[in-house]
Amino acid sequence: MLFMRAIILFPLAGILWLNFSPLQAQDVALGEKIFTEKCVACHSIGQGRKIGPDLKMLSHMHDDEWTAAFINAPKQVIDSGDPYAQALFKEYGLHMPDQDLDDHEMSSVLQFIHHETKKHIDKTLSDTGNSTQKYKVLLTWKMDAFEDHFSIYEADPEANLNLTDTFLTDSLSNLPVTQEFIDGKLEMVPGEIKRIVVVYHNPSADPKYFFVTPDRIEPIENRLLGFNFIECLCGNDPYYVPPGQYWYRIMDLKMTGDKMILGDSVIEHTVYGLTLAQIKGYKLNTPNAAAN
Amino acid sequence: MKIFLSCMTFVLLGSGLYSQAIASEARLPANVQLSWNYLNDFTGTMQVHRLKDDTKVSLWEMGVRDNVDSTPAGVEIAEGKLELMPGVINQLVLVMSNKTSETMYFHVPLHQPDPGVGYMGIHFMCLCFDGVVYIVPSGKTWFRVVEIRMDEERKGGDMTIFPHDVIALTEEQISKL
Repeated sequence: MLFMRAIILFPLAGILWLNFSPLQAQDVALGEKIFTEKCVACHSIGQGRKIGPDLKMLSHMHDDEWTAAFINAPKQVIDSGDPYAQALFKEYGLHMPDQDLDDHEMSSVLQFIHHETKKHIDKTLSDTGNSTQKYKVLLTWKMDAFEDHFSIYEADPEANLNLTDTFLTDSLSNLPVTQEFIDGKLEMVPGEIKRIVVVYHNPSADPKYFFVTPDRIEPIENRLLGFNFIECLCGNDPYYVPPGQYWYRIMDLKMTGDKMILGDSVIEHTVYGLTLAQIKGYKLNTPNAAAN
Repeated sequence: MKIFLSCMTFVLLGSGLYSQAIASEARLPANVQLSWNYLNDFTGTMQVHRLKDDTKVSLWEMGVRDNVDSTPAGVEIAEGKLELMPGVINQLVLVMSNKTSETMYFHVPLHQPDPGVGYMGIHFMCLCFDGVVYIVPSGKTWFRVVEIRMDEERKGGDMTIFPHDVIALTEEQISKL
């Protein structure tokens, strides 16, 4: 059995939704009854630790097989050398008694735990989404052997755009944008996903090649539960822009929440200008198509 | 005429013919180093290992064991330095032992390759993901299977360093998640 040791945050909410259906309502009701009788004295799901741990992350950290084995025979799991069970025993200094649930009872309790976990995640997402405090974000570009600059615009919501779509056009008026975020400054609220268009104009008579490394967020802590690009332009392959053309790419910037935000955020991409000789042998990120 | 030639270059580049034409020039290995910066008083040390002989694992397989010997980790790679051969997938095992009496929690933001252009044509499926916290119980050893490879056509040679920041999180911070 693989013991996952990662808390994977909000994306798991979708997985939990998929795993739960109305057909299991009776099981959930029975699970709640058993949980109230046998578990609630020592455990909560999302209300903090009691005599035993808060079970809000249980569904993320263990599969049902592990959880069922632990519920019915915790000492046996601890004695088997299971590291997580041993760590729990060490942390809490005791183990719970064997619960002796039959298969149907066990299944019902597990359904109830999944159900309550989903409710906890829903509430967390709802709390996050209701916050209206605006946070400042500055998108900056560090240029290395590249003299031109990038601009950031808000995507036109009426335009039929897909994330990571990349286009070339010969006129600024063809861009599917509404307003420019001057100097890369924008504001976001928790829960918001902002669709932006990054634009580069090659003003020269020669083709331009560039490459962008993974972005860096300052303060660095703001990445964990603050800002991140769902997709941007940093990757493993260089880009190519013909002379006089406007190159643009659709990106989504997400603000997950603000519980751990430490002040305003600066998101920096480093852009490396490349010569034709330097890109020899590399695959190129090519636009979907010309927009005009 | 110049625009026409540029367009032709673009068509060639886009079609991959240009890459194929010069692919034979570059078959040297690339040198890389995986390095770690520990922030917020993080007390652990990340080790990079080869995969144990005759062990089959999946990318991003992860777990906690009693010690390093119980993980899929084989020989440790000194200073995280290794050579990548064109087109070869290198499966590695990242290992973190918690020798403290407290549970360790950490987060790893995106790697920042140095020099940046060294990242071209190298693919590193590692551990830096937004919104993910890794947990290592006291006295236990955590591992994660990662992969790094370079494209067939990429030029080898100079060293590229892949630094990761490892940020310690407190139990109080974890409780907010």
